Amino acid sequence: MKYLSALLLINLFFFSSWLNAEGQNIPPARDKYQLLTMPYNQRQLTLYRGQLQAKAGYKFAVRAQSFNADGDLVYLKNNGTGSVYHYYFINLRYGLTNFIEMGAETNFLRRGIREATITVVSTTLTSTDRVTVNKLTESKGHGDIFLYTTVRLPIRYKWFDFGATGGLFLPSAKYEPQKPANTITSASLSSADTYTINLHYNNTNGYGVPVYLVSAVSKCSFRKFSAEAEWAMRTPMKEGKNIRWEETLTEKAFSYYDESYSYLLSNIYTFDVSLHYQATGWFNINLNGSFFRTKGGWTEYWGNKYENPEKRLINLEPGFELQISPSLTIYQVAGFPLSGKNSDAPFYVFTTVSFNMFPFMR
Amino acid sequence: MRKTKFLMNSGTIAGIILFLLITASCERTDYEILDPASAGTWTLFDTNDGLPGNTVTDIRLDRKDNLWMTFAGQGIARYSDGAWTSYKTTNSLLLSNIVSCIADDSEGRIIIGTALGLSVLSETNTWDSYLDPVIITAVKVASDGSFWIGTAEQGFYVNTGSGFVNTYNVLYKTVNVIEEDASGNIWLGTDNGLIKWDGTTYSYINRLNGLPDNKISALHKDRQNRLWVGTRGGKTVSWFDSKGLHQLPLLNGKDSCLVNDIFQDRSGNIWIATTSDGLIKYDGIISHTYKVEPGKLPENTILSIGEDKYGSLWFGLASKGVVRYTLPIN
Repeated sequence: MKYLSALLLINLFFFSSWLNAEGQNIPPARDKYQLLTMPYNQRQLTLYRGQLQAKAGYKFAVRAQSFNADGDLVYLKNNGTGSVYHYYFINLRYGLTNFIEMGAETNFLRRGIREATITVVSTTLTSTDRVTVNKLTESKGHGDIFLYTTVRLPIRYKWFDFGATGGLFLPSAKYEPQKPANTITSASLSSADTYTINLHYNNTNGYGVPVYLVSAVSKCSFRKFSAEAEWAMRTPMKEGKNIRWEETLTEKAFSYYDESYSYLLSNIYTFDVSLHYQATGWFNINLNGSFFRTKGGWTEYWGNKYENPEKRLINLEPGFELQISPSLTIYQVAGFPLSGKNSDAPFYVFTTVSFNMFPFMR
Repeated sequence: MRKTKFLMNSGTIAGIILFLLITASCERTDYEILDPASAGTWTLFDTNDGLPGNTVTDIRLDRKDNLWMTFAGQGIARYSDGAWTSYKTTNSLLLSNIVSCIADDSEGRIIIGTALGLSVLSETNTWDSYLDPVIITAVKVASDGSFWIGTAEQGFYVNTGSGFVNTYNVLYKTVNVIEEDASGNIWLGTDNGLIKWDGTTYSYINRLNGLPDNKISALHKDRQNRLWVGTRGGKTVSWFDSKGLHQLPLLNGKDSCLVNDIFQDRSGNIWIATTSDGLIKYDGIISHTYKVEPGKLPENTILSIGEDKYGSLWFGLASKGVVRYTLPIN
């Protein structure tokens, strides 16, 4: 399937290069305000020649439930392990021509996942140990830098467009977890055997290896309505190495050691289909269906390579695009998980601000 | 015309780049990839599965990834590629079916401690016998190649290449277990405390030095270079590290606990096999107790612990065979 998809994409590229170029004639006198305010249903998939776009986004997700291996919904908030996470991204794109654009993107993630508190009461001959264990796994840090190029059909957009993207996530971000910051607090002044252990693990946000991305997108419009479908795949270039931290508690003091392990990231497939309605020239509403799936890959545990569990998630995402000014546009999307497997099921709100300009055009 | 050419070139270049990206990503791997569902599972093996007996006294993985087990009164068995091969006095030259310990050396030989001496099985399937008819209780092949043999009532033997030499001290005549630490010191666990051989002299450690009991029944060197000491009495398991002797409370609520074996798994947990008190897992922070549970542990007396080539733990039971526990992943 992977090879077939790749072959199809390549063929489309060659086919597109063979098409008659006359179809993509852009009127010689270009009006940058007209291009900047082009409604979604009349806009091509890539930026226009000379157009620069800077985007900044923030996603706030509430992780109150997740899908287990059987696809059943697990309510995390019921056992007090719900959490939120914050995701920021910036993206810079530039239109080299009317059908080729280049872009760069990176992100910053911050999230903390608590596990249910465990209290261990153990009776020995001499005393009663009462140990409470809290566990917090925090993930924080910059993501890898993603560089990419998008090519669309070299024809003028009327009602149909097709584009393809190839890119690479450079392993620029920290990916090894930092040393845990575990602490012990005494809950009782009268008993040395009653205490709380706070386990605090610190993960980072990088892949650790270069990851390719290929995607294909098509769009068609009919009057005020548009439909867009996008398929994307991320696949790692090679296996990676990482570390796990282990701790030992001796006389109420922690010591740490790390152990190396290897891994192969799973392929990630996403498929999005969206329907758009251009309510006015400056306001577009849309409904997006998003399918996410991982497949393959493995992680080494204790000298063995275990296949990564397959993850699936289907989200429904209503959203809108609002043009504030010729250079400023706001996008907002809310995500509602519908079904999944081995996956968090967060509700989220994703807000993006886009700034557009033609820096070299008078 | 120029524009058309430019378009064709651009499309071709983009196609080639994409092709290269995809072909580079289609890297094949030839590893054995395990199903994550197989992790964290318990599997019981007993005589119905081909084991020669249900009382498993020792478990060792040899250098060729064969798993060897010894059985009280039923000889030994090798587990390899999912099949069991038994060796008894009736089908081999094993000295006795009463076997208490097993080890292998760098030449691929299997050294078996029996109630009638030492049996050695070579790679070519030939058998040799030594120390007949001494009751062998412990076997250790040290990193320098020397053989250390513990006996019941007859002290211990050392063979550094020129034959077995007996060392007998009436206070330390029964040696239950032998281990080598990270510095190359040999530790002998006896019924009257620990003997430490540092290559030059012997030193003795017992309750007066902080051990919970003098009857030493288990020794294990872990990957953090700690030497764990289990006893047939007392309320703790001890370990030595560079800072001295430490104690881990055994939380059974009784007068004492009988430790039969200690083993560190690949994820760093210390497992303690006990008589009547089940299994205790010390994860470095707190202890967890595993007792009889349907589909997991069928009895509370565990005599021995070993691991196979996958890092799965094998728990030798007192009367119900052996349980394989695949380490969980997280």
